[in-house]
Formats: sequence, C-alpha cells, structure tokens
Amino acid sequence: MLHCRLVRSTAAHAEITAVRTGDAAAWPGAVAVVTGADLAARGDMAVLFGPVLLDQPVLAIDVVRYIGEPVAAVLAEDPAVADEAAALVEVDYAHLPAVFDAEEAFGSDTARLFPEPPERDPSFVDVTLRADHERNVCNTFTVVKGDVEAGFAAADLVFDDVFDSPAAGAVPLETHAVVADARGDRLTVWSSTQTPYITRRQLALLLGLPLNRVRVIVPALGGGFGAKAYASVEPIAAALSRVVGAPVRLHLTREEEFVTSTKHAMRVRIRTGVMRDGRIVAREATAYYNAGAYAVISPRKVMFGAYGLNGPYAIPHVRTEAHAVLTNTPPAGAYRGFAINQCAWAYEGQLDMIAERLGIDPVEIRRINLLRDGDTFCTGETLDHLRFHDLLDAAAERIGWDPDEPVHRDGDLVRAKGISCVIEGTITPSTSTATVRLGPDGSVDVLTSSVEMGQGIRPALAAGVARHLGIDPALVGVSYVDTDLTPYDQQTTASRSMYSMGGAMGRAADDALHKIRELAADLLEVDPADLEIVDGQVRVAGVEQQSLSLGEVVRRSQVGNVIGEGTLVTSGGLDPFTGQGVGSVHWHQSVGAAEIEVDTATGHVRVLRYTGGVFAGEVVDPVGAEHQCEGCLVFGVGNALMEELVFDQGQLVTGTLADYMVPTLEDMPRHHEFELMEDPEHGEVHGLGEPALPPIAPAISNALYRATGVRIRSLPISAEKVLRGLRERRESEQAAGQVDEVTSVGAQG
Amino acid sequence: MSTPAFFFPRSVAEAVDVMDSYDGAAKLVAGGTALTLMVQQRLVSPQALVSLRDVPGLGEVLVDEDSGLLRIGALVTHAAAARHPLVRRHAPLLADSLAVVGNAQVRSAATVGGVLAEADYASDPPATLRALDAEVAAHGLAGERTIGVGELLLGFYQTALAPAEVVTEVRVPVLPAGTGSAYLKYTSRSHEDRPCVGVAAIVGLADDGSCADLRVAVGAACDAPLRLGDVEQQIRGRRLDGATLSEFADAYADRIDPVSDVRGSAWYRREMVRVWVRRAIEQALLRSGAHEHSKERAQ
Ligand SMILES: Cc1cc2nc3c(=O)[nH]c(=O)nc-3n(C[C@H](O)[C@H](O)[C@H](O)COP(=O)(O)OP(=O)(O)OC[C@H]3O[C@@H](n4cnc5c(N)ncnc54)[C@H](O)[C@@H]3O)c2cc1C
Repeated sequence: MLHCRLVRSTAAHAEITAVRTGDAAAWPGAVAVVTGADLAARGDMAVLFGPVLLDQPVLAIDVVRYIGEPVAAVLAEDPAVADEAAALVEVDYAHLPAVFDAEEAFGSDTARLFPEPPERDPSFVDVTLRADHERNVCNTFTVVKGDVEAGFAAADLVFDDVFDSPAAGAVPLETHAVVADARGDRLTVWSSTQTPYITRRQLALLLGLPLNRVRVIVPALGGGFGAKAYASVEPIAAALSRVVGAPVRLHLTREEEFVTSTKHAMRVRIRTGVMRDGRIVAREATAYYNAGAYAVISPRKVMFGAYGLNGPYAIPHVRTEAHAVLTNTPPAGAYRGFAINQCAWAYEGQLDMIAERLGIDPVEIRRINLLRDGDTFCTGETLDHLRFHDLLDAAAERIGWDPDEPVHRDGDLVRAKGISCVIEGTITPSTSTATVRLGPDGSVDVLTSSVEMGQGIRPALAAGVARHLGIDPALVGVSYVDTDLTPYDQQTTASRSMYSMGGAMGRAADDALHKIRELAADLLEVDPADLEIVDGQVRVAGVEQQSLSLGEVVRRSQVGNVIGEGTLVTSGGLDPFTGQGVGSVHWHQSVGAAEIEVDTATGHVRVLRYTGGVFAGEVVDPVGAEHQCEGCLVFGVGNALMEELVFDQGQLVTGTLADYMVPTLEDMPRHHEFELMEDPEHGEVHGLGEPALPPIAPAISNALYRATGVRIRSLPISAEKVLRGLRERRESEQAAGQVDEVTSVGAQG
Repeated sequence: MSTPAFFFPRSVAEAVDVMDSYDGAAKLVAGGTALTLMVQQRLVSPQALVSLRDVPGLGEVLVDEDSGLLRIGALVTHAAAARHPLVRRHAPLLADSLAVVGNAQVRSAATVGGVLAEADYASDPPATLRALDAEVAAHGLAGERTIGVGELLLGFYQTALAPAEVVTEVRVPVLPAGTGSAYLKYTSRSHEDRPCVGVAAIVGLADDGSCADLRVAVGAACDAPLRLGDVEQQIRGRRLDGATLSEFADAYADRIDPVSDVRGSAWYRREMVRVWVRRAIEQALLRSGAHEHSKERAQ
C-alpha cells in the first residue's frame, strides 16, 4: 500500500504555469508524483467530480481556485517519505483576480471562477439548477407566498437588517481517511464517508465502472457532522490507485481537514414587516451562501435556507431567495444544521429587536406568531403535528422566564435570559432500504447502509428492530456499511436515519415476520391467519402452548435464514422558482433558552444555563437522544462564542487547533436540560442529530441583548465585538444625553 | 530535509558541545511541546535534536537559604512545579500561572526552562517570572552566567541565549511574608486557549497601609512581558485606592505596544490590559497580609 501526501495550492486563484516534480520524483523512496495534467493525459478516467456539478478536479488542472486545493500527489510506502518528497514539488502560479466574500462574488465584474458552465452529474435528478456561472452562482432558490409588497405596505413598521455567519469547521475527531484499491477491473474503497452510495456513484462515474464493480466499505467514523458527506478524498485515492496499480491511502492532517469541507459562511439580508400588535405580516430575505470554490452540495442546500428563512412563524406574505455563490475559499459542504443555523441567527436575532421596539416580551411575540396546526407554510404545505407553543411554554418555564425580570448586576457582571425558536426540514424526497435476516438460533442481522459515526445509529436501529420483533436487543446485530452487501441508503445526513432507515427497517422486520408466519403455518399445519406473533413467539391464537420461537421456525423449516426487506421512499420536493410543493415529510421543531453572564469590562460571555426542547415524535433510544442534544449544545456554544475560520486574502489564519477554537468542558453551561417532546399518536420518529442546534446561538445572543442592549450581527459573539458594542452604546447614550428608548446598537465585525 | 539526528547527552557540558558542533542547526528538546509543533509545521528544520532527558540534576526544586532563592531545574514540568510545596509557599503566583497553561497534557510535558527559551509572547509563566524578578542560569561555551528574565526575553521568539546555551535553572527570589500576589489569565475564546492577556501582580503594603512594593508584568499582549519600573516606583508610598489603581492600569494600557491576533486586536488588547492590571492588583491585595490583618481586625 502506498501513502499519499498532497501538495496544495498556495494561491487563491491562479493559473498553474508550471509544476516541477523532478526533485520529488527523485527523492529516495518516492514511488510516484502525479499532477492533474497527468491524470487528464491518461484518458482512462474522468478528472472532474461533484455530487451535483462536475466542477471539482481530482487534482487541479490549469487553474487553482482556493488556497489548499490539491495540486499534486506524492506516493511512497513510507508516509514520512511522502511528506518529505511533497515538500520538494514546486508550483508556479500566475495570479488571477480572486474574490472571498459571497455577496461581492455575486455577479462580480472582476473575478469569475468558471469561464464555462460545468457539466452536471446526470444522476442527480432532484435538483433543478438555476446556476449562472457568469455570475459565480451555482444555484438560486426562491420561495414566494402571498404578495410581499402588499404585506410591507400594510405593515406598521418595517425592520431591515443584515446578519453574518462565518465559515466554521466541523472538527470531527477523526479526519477524512480513505484507502482505495483499483487493481483489476474493480474499485474497492474503505472510506470515512457519510454517503457511501453517493460516493460509489461518484467513483463509478469517475473511473467509468458499472456501479456493481465499485465497492465502498465504511467502518465506524470518528465523527462526521456533515463534513464527510459527498466524495472529497475518495476520488483522489481512487484515481491514484489506478495510476500506480497499488492500494493508496490518504489520511488528512488536521490542517488539511480545515480546508476540505466547511460550514457555509452566509450573509442574510432580512426585511420584516410587523403590526404594532406584534404580528409579522411580511418577510423578504436574501441569503448569500459562500459556497467556496466548488459547488459540492450547495445547489441543493439553497432550498433549505430559502424556506428556512421563513422561520417557524405564520407569515402571510413572504419572498425569500438564496444564492449559492462561488468564491476563492475552501469548498463549503454539509454541516450539522444544514444552513438553518445561519437562517435562525438572522431571523431570531431580528425578532428580538422587533419585540424590543414594540415593547412586547420576546416569548410573547413568538407565541403570537408561531405556526399552529392548519397554518400554511411558505411552501404552500398545510402543517400539522405542530407543538411549537407547547415547546416554547415549557422552555420558558424551565429557564424561569419572567417578562418583568430585571437584569441581574453584580459589579461588572450582568446576567439575563434569551429565547429562540426554529423550524427545520429533513431531506425530502429520500429513500432507505434495509434487510433483516433471522437466523436459526434466533439472532437477527440488520443489513443497513446507515453510517455509524458516533451518533449511535447502530444501537438505535438494534433497539428499534428488537422492539418490532419482540426480542432482546442483544440478539440483534447491525452491520457496518459495505455496498457489496448492505442495501441502498441515500445518505447519513439531515437527521434522517432514525426516521427513514428506522422506517425501512420496520418494514423489513414486518416482511420477515410475514414470511415467518407462512413458514410457521406449514409447520403447525394451521392457516397463517390463525397465527399471532407476540414477544418473539409464534403461536396459534388463543392456544398458548402451541408456540414456536422465531429461531425455531427458521430452524425447523430448514430455510437457512429468513430475509425480510423493506424500503421507505418519501416523495416531495419544491419548485425552485416559487418554493411551492412538499418541503419536508415532517418538520423538526425546536426551541432554546439560555441564561448568560457577560463581563461588561471585557465583553466576555459565559453561558450559565441552557435548556432546549425538541419535538421528537417518538424517542427510540433515550440515552442516545439525550447525547445528540448535548452534542448539539457543545456545537452550538462553539458556533456562538468562538468558532470561526478566519481568512486573510483566502489564506486560512485559524487553520490549526491552536488557532481555531472549539469549546472545552469549562466553556459549557453548568446546567443544561433537554425536553424531548413525544406524541405517541403521531407515531413518527423524528431525527435528533441536528434540531437542538440552530436555536442555541440566537438564544445566547438574545440573552446578551437583554442584558446589555448590544446586538451582535455577526457570529461568533466574540468578547471584542461585545465590548465594542458596549462602548458604542455608551457613546451614543452620552451623545443623546439620555436614553428614552432602548435602541439597538450594531457591533462591528 | 531528512530526519534529524538524535542525541541524549549525559551532562550539560556534553549538550553544549553537541549543540556547538552543529553550529546553530541543532535544537534542544525539553518537554517537546513547542518544538514538535514547530518541526511539524516546518517552522524549523533542525539537523539534530538534543534531548536534555538524561542530563542529571535539571529536575530539582529547592530553596537556597543563603541567597533566598527558589531554584527550579529547567526540566521541571509545569505540572510538577505547580504542585510543588516550595513553589506554592514561596511563589504562589508562579504555581498559579503554571497551573493555567493549556491543558493537563501540555502541563505534564512542558518545562519551565522550555517556556522561557521558547519566548512565545502568548505564554503565561514568563510574565510571572518577570514580575518576580527571576533569573535563569545558562551554560554555554563560555561557562555559566545568569540572565534576568527581563534581559532574556527580547521579543517574539527571541532570547538572549546563544545557540549553544542551555538554561539549567530558573531562580526566583522568595516573596517576603505578607506579600500579596496573583496571576490572572484572560482567555477571550475557549477556556484552554492561550492568554489574550495575562497579568502578574505582587503587592507589599507598609504598616500604614500604603504601598511598599508593587510589581506588575503584563504578558501575551505584546512581544515580551511588559514591566514599567518607573510607574511602579511612582506608586510606592501611596494608598492603593480605586483612583490610584486606575491611574496605574492606564499607564500600562497607554504605554504598551499591543499585538493584534486572533485572540484580540491591538485596541482590544489595550483595553484588556487596563482591566486586568487592575483586577490582578485587586486580587493580589486580597491575598496580602495587610488584607488578612484588616479582616482579622474587622472580625
Ligand atoms: C496545545 C497547547 C496549548 C498551550 N497553551 C499554553 C498556554 O495556555 N499558556 C502558555 O504559557 N503556554 C501554552 N503552551 C505552550 C507551552 O507552554 C510551551 O510549549 C512549553 O512551555 C514549552 O516547553 P517545553 O519544555 O515543551 O519546550 P520544548 O518544546 O522542548 O522547547 C521549546 C524551545 O525551547 C528550547 N529549549 C527548551 N529547553 C531549553 C533549555 N533548557 N535551554 C535552552 N533552550 C531550551 C528548545 O530548543 C525549543 O526551541 C501550549 C502549548 C500547546 C502545545
């Protein structure tokens, strides 16, 4: 096996004028040095990939579009040798105009990333593209409901604000890793992907192989959080393996991880019209997603932001638009929360400013506007099973919300509470299939292509199938992913697995039980209809003593095993020009409430307490569910207070874990609590990987606003921004002589 | 660019010799916490690494009664020094500043010699050692010399050490009884971040409650720990009331030439110096004997 070390671009946007590989190739132990041009010259593989647009080169060809883009690969049996040789590759660049900000890149006259429109992946059928490469746009999505101009005309007050979220890293403990073996007429890949079947398809397209000759094996991942969705390192390892005729391993360093897949930096311009009584009557919002240099999944992600900007409110007139804009920064991809974090950061922040202006309590203004059963969402869907009001009231009670509570002061320390509410969809349409295999000893295998990445999908699926079959969960084994063996699943993202794979698995279990019933009927010489299956026992209804365990049925009927299969397909989708249709099979509903303390001398914010509430439908694995919410809390506090990929002219400045901060236990609130609201009659399982996350940053920011009147409009809520906000506020108060009305003061940055 | 040679000298003199033979292309290794990162990120590419691991006598902590010096061997780790009873008794703020460095893994490897020799501006212990008027003993080709921490730390990653000079010991004058002292580390981002600003303060009060001794060093805010001797002088004999402390903190804030980095802009750093100088002195006052007396009297 050969180890690969990548030579990465040091230019943000440039033509490659020369790649000098001679010294590296001559380095003792170096087996091969490969460039993008080398791959292109072979003619036996495609050299561009991407889940929607085929825009990303395996290794850069002619042009680099971000600092950190792979330009050449060095292979050696010893990774240290590969490292040393890689340092000897020299690349010459002729710089091109570069652009780093999404709104600036949108229709930029000076910087254009693609002179020609990239081709699209023929099999990605569910995304209608409104790409415009001349404007650096890789997709646009629009949602229109009612008549937004009429809505604004009727409004008593109109609020117009801009909110920014920076790029951030998912920071999985384990960085991307892949081994690819393309020897012979097959490709086998061991990958840390969250999307094994999409990756298989991408690799088959790349190497020109039928799907069944590409095998993707996925062991347990050390975290993913979206960063490992869609191919990134796999095409490189696969292509190189074909070139050298040996297995190739690529394991990213932490520094490389930071430039491989990021959270979208996003600017949201949001205008909201309200009546004096607090009703929201119109909303117009535009989101500029910074997609980075390649489209990856941005073309689909714009849909989530476009409807996401509506928020969980019944607004009669809405027009939202989301643009995914290419810039010369590392590609942005999937990231826990899938654009909803950035939307909520904008609309929940603005809502508290509205409440303040109208003199309405923040909890009350949400009660007034939150969606109720029967309301029409901006997508035209009539919503049901809405529990927002219950979730809000319960969270307000848990945090001890009191509209008249004064801000607590103790010297420089000021304390207050904040609240926020969020709606989020899950990926729709979507498909999962599962196989349940009953053995003669009563043990059960679940064959699934859901990826275990620490979220606990395997124990959760085991618990689900055990419950379905009425057997001990210890008898159930859940597979890891191997596309040669485990059946199709769309992807492990979007908090979909418990619902989608769980549903498919339930059907597979039912199918297996149906077959068991047929077999048992033969064995017991009764009509299948006379049999009942209770607690893993098949028995003739009413005749307790005539019963067989599931294993006995398999054994005695000599079928070897009994296989049940199940598929769950959800349908839906939205029109990209109007946003009308079915956005999501069900809606994730989430609220958060935070109590914070700010040191007004330094601007430093601490979260003292946090409580969230999520509508879970049905909780399958209570401990796992709790852990997902706690994981969201760590993620959310990091996003809120410290996480930021800082770029200087496209060069990442916070590219190591000494510079990029993730929260530590000391940064966590001392007290936290999550409510997982259930509704057994609803009978649906909602995923819990993400929903608790998006309310966290706005709840913290809203608490800061109540404490100090400082409104932070760009994440993270750094101490410095807060201090600047406090100073500006003090200055404007002094200038005004006094404050008769609390106005919001924008912090810089 | 090949793998460096590795040496484990058994004496300081041998270490100096090996270092000298590489003529500046060798690096000493103590805890290795800083050096490993520098090598990994290719900030340095030494031809040889010279470990101090097997040099005897660099791991001791003792108090020299004659000179009144607390002597800490260069290889003593942050964790070991922070919990050492002699350090806690005679230089409690040094124990405090070592105990807040990074995280437990770093503290149990990083050494007191290494942190000074590294001269990273964003470190905690150097400011404290500067406030304590500590010195280091260093062995080089010309034999042993002592260097005050103020003279040792010249700027960003710059020290007065010669390429083949080994720090063997850190010498800290023992604080007189009744002295109040504190080290306050302020992190602007995660709790385990390096300091945005760190302030070490030492206060001794006269019987009449006026200031007999005030020493303040600000770390992590500029190229090397900042101490303003003239400002310290001016405050002696005065009462440390709120206005005086503000005046003092303002002097530090006004005279510092702060850095800008991901932990804070120069503007922010200056403001934080203002806040934390004052807070550190207040904290030191709380721990001073005078305060203990007044508490007793009040009871
Ligand atoms: C994750 C992390 C977090 C950190 N957080 C903090 C923090 O919050 N606060 C803080 O203050 N520091 C922090 N540090 C820095 C850490 O304290 C220093 O890396 C450490 O003090 C260096 O000591 P060492 O013994 O490991 O030195 P080494 O890495 O071994 O050496 C550092 C340098 O000093 C030289 N050197 C070492 N010993 C001697 C000697 N005896 N004589 C002459 N030259 C010598 C070496 O040649 C090298 O150039 C952090 C480091 C890491 C990795």
